[in-house]
Amino acid sequence: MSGLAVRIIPCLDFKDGRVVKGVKFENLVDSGDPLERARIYEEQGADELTFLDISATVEGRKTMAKEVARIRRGIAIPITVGGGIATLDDAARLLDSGADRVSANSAAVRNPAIIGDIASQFGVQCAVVAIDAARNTAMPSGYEVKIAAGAVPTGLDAVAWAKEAASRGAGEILLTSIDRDGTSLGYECTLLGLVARAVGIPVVASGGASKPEHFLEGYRSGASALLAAGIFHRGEVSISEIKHYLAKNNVEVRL
Amino acid sequence: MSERPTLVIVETGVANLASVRALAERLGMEPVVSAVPEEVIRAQAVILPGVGAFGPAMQKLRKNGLNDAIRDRVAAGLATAGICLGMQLFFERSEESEGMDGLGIFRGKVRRLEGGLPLPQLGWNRLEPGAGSRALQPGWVYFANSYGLAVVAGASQEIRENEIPGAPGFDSITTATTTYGSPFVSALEAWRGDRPSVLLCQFHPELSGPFGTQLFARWLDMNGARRPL
Repeated sequence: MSGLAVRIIPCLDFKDGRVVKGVKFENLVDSGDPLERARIYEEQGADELTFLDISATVEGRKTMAKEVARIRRGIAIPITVGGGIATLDDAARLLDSGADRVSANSAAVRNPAIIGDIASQFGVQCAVVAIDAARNTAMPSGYEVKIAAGAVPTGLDAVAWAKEAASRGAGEILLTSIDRDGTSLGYECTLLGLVARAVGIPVVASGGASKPEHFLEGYRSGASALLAAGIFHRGEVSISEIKHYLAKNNVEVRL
Repeated sequence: MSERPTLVIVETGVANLASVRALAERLGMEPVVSAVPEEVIRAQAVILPGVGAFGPAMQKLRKNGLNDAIRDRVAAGLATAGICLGMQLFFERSEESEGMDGLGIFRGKVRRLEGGLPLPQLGWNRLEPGAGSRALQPGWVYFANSYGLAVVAGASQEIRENEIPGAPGFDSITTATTTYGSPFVSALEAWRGDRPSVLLCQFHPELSGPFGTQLFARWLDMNGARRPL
């Protein structure tokens, strides 16, 4: 036993400072005030919150930083922010605003040195690399990395890229299955297992979880943390329900 | 002009201090980020926060004379806390930066966590205070660390029983442990007279929900460092 509890992480997608949630990265729907949401999740037992900024404009990103600052003052659990982080300045701005960790996705693929830069400047625990992966039988692992919100294939093997990210100083991998995202079919456990075994850092499972059983599967596949969005926003499953289910199955959770 | 008591957060270089500031605000204290020794000595309470590596952080403290300011505070029995790397700096040495002396207020060498589990340890783990702890209580706390104190057996005892010549002394020291593969020292409270003047946390109280806020509220009140709200 590691002693460490598996983390349950609600994810909030932001556009221009507002919370939205997409299905397969499309059809965005607005679902409420972020601070109010964040407080509800903290009370329900969320172990951490992840925010993804999908704003496409400089203005939108500034609004995001202000929102992060407001939420930071209102809650006392860790916050990870991702989306549009391309430079050390982008990372510094969000960390100054109150993020505890930042995640780089497309930018890390385009410029892998950013991973080491964030790690050496702010510590490895700050440097999360987000990987969006889709099935592709032409890849050695069977999964390919896609960037630009899943729109652009990179030709990179997902497991090989995760290993490289870890060796460059990433402190955690946030692994989203594009095939499963928004489908309610559960995490892509094969992908999770391959990545978790390949890297010596924590892996966060993302994409597809809709019931407590899916969270247990994700944990058993090697994930250190389990992320979901829509099911929490819509109130379909509560964090406490998931944690009790995991505890009943002898998984260490913070209750 | 605020009339709240000040909590000085020691500036050790590049650090994300928003969460520690938010903790101070929740405690009803005025957070002041400072690298000025006089301000560090004068504050009702001081937090040495933790981000970055042992060596560069110690260099920064020395350059600004903050190492002496912190030692003077501790010698005077004033409320002083260390968080994460800030805790590690209170010890003698670290494997992370060989050849660099720490503040040397407590015995021990910081080492990379053992046990073959993913590093950094990232997430919530159990705080198990040793007998006699009063500020520290059992509960779940949030960690983000690859290094820690004394994976080696007997380290807690060494901290408690072996004073460093010339270092500020204490009437009693109790430690808390946490297990991540193997046990390490996750917190420490050191008493001078009727006050737990030094509180060290390897975890992040500022990110440990209400448990972390209550721990610091209790510690500040035991030190009389916070006026009743």
